[in-house]
Amino acid sequence: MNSKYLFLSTLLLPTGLYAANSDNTLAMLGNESMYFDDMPVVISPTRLAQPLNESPVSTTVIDRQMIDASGAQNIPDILRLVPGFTVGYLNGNSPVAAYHGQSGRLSKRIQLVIDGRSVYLPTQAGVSWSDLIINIEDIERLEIVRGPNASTYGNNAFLAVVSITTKHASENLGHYIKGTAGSHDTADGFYRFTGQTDNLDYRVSVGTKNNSGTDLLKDFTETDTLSYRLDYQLDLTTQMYYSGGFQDSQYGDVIESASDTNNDVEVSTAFQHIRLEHTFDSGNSLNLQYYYNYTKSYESGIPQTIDGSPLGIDSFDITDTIDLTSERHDLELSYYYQPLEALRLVSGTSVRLDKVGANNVFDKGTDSSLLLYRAFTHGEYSFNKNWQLNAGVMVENNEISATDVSPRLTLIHHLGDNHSFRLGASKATRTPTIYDEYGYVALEQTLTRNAGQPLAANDPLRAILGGDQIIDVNVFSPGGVNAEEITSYEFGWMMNFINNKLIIDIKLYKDEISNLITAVDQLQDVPNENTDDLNAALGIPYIPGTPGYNANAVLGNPGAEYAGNTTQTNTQGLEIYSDYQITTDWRVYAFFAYTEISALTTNNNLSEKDKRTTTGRLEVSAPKKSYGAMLMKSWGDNLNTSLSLYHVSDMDWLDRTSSRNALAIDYRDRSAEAYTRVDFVIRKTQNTRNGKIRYSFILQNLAGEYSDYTRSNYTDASMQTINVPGSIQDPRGYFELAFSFN
Amino acid sequence: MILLGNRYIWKYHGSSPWYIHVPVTLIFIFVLSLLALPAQAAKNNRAYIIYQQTQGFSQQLIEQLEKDISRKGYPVSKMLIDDINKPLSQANLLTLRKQQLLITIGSRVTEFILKADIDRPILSALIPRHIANSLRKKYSKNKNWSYLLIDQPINRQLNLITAILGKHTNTGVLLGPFTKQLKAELIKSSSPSTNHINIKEVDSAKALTYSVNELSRKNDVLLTLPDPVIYNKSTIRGILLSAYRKKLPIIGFSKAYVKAGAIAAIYSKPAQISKQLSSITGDFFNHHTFKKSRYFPDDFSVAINRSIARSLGIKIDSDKLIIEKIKMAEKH
Repeated sequence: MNSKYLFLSTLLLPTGLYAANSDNTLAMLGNESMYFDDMPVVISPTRLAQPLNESPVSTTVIDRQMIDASGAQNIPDILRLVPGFTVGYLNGNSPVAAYHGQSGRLSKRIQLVIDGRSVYLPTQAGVSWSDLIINIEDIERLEIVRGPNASTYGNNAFLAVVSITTKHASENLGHYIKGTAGSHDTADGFYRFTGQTDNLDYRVSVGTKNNSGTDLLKDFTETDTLSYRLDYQLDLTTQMYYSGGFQDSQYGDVIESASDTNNDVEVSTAFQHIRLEHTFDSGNSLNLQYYYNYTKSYESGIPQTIDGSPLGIDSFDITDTIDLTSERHDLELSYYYQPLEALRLVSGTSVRLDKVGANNVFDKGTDSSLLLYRAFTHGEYSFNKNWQLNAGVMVENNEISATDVSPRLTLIHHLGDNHSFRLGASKATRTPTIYDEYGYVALEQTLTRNAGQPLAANDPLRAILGGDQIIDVNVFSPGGVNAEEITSYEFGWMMNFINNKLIIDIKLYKDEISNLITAVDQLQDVPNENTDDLNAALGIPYIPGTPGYNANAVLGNPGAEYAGNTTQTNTQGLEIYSDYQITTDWRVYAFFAYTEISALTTNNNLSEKDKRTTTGRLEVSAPKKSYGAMLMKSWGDNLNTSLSLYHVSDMDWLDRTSSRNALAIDYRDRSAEAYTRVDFVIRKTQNTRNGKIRYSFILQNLAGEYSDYTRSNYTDASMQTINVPGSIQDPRGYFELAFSFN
Repeated sequence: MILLGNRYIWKYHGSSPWYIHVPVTLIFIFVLSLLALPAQAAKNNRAYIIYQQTQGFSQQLIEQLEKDISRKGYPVSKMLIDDINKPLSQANLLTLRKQQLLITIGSRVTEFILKADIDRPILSALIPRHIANSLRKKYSKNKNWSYLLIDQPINRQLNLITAILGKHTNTGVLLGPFTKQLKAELIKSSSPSTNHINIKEVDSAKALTYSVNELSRKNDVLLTLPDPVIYNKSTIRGILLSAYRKKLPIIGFSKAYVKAGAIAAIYSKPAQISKQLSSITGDFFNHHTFKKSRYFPDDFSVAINRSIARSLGIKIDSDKLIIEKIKMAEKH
């Protein structure tokens, strides 16, 4: 086109021919690309939840509505809703949740997983429920696998798995502020900001929890938490998840009474977690994740002065300080694939390094790290629409218990659309901890005379003690501890009616546990220990077979405690739960659990009485009966109420013989009394110009006070009532005010 | 051809009297002319495809459309608009003004041509409903414009829901600024015996997950209607995840949405759209007018995310059976 023609054509053009940007309708409306553009795979196959009626193990899901309706102030309180679970408060800052009993203050046989990250503490072999760096507000749901599932979650998924899924960072955009005030000087605060760009969603949360604990104990809580999460869509098929958090806490002493001197517990925890997830066109997906957990807890013990005058030596102080550090690195690669239409598989491998550090807990020179390798595969094959086979196996190798194999096999039959039956068997192991294997807790005190003068070369004490040190060993692990083993059999019947609006699940089970690791008293003198020699020299005889406190001993008794595979248990029972969405406004959830445990000890060092005590305590370590129900009602106009009722029969926590009072073993009552608990929650949401305000009243323990871990009065051997400072759960109330805005 | 034919006939009947062969010849010529008319018409009835994109779905549609229209005996030409922000050249303008039918592919090109005021019949394809409504209002003077929507009719989508979830389904719908006008149509389609529709209107993308959560309480399924304010790349993650966690299946509006995490969608493939466009083109050339100013896709496919369905505990028939059920419902 020559320039002359161009000029002419320009003159002739109607003005409307220009599609000026400023007048472009489509600039506002977008275009048709939203119909054709590829979209990121948001819900990849690995994120999909398995339908409950296809789950190989009984599984209970607690969703967000139930979490809100429960009024729970911490995660164990949510687990009250799960059949077979028991929740107790060792004190106001130490809630504990156990499944089928056999638990102390650390839930040793439960695996707790947050967004795929295990928070099991390698130092103490268990879960510290107060130090999870998670706020209930950020939780989307809890899936509780009620039974061993080591083939999926690895060892320590021994009795149950609690898997917590937090909200995706794209949910609840904007600002959210919540304050809670209530009984026991509760003053909690929480702030969260959630934002997004085209490919990135992010969330930052900060929170503080403060309360004075229970009435009789010095068990306050002061906790500050920071956590964050990023979800980044690298491309259409690859997503990255990254989260991290820090928590600093100070707790009133976990087990001491209010009259104790100041020896609070300081706990610092942190984690980092990153995961890459790639979905292939075929629908298969590959996951690579790494996480790091860090926990440090410090408790200064109460100084105790040892009177040296009977020996003519200087008196000295001992302080039983607890200073523990644990670290866990875990790298895992997993691949989800579907080689056949009817066959779905997940396979993977991981390597884990646990490192622990503790003053006076391990023998010098002990390797304080544990390396674990793992390979797993599990899958599901559908023979037809009525029959499914679910199988899996995990092989783990670690330096303590060598190679463990955990298989699982479940056959599922769907009878029509409404009934599913499952018959399953599985094996799982629980690896001994580094402490179980290498634990060494001892007092090693160099003795002096005459205001700090070293013992002379010819000092008679040197001959008795074999040197100038007195060594009192409290924990000595000779090693060779085997992994605990469980073989579990389950028959389940799940019913779905009214388009899944009514679900009923019934489970009959039998769990056989062997090699149960318990603390065993080693009555013989342990290497290097010389307190028995000293006691003998002082004329304080040692009587074999009578462990326990000896008031006359200068420094405890000879022998020590160690971890041994000394006990086996059989647990059987019945569990039922039902979830019924009656209408859109009414929902009711109910459960019942019957648990029966029989135990046998193989510890021949124990007297018959102590054997009965040990096995007897295990046999009552779970409530025989527990049941509960929660009624949820939406009244319209953003008003929601819920009424919950729980009943738990009495039981013993395994560590009821705490150092608070050694005589407790003679108490005839169980440490947790039978109780009925009633909670009521009312929440009202109001729209404001900028967002929403929610007011909540949470009333707990309306049926009266009770003790679910350590009672405050016992009947002793002479049938006298002994009052002790226990953890009392009294009626309490909280008011929450939450404001969300953009 | 005609002249040659006449000469041949003339020769053949050369010995006949004039009062016989002249009228016979004239009648023959007339008949031949009638027979030749469609060929002549086809030559003149050129379809002119105007497009902007040369890739993906549009490209597949254009390639198929050329074949389908040619197969009907109409010539096809194409014009690529490189930059819709620049005016149409005079040469192109003159070219387009000579055409019997302009077929525009995509909403941007459609608006570009509508703005150019070429005064030729325009048939547009791949037009979203909300954009079509806006353009219709803006260019109301242009009576000779018809379009084939990308969107599937609402009743068809409700029939999909019935085919998947059965009758008596509570269907939640989020309406934004660009889909609010569908409220009346949705209410009209709502029926307690099949699909009861609950509508929630939102003005912005703020608090979308809250709205989804609210809808999930009273509904069995969420029907998405394309509204760029509600459903875009930033919001998709929150919507799909919130709905999934509330066990609320989502009916998407594209195949990609299903891949991303919706349970199902109805959509039309390029071949299906092309077939309908060529049919409309043929009708237009025959009657010189469009039968309708707005067409919905006649033929369609379904996309199902069976993993999501399984996870949500929903049993779904084969694609073929679902399509049959929808077509059966449309017949009634």
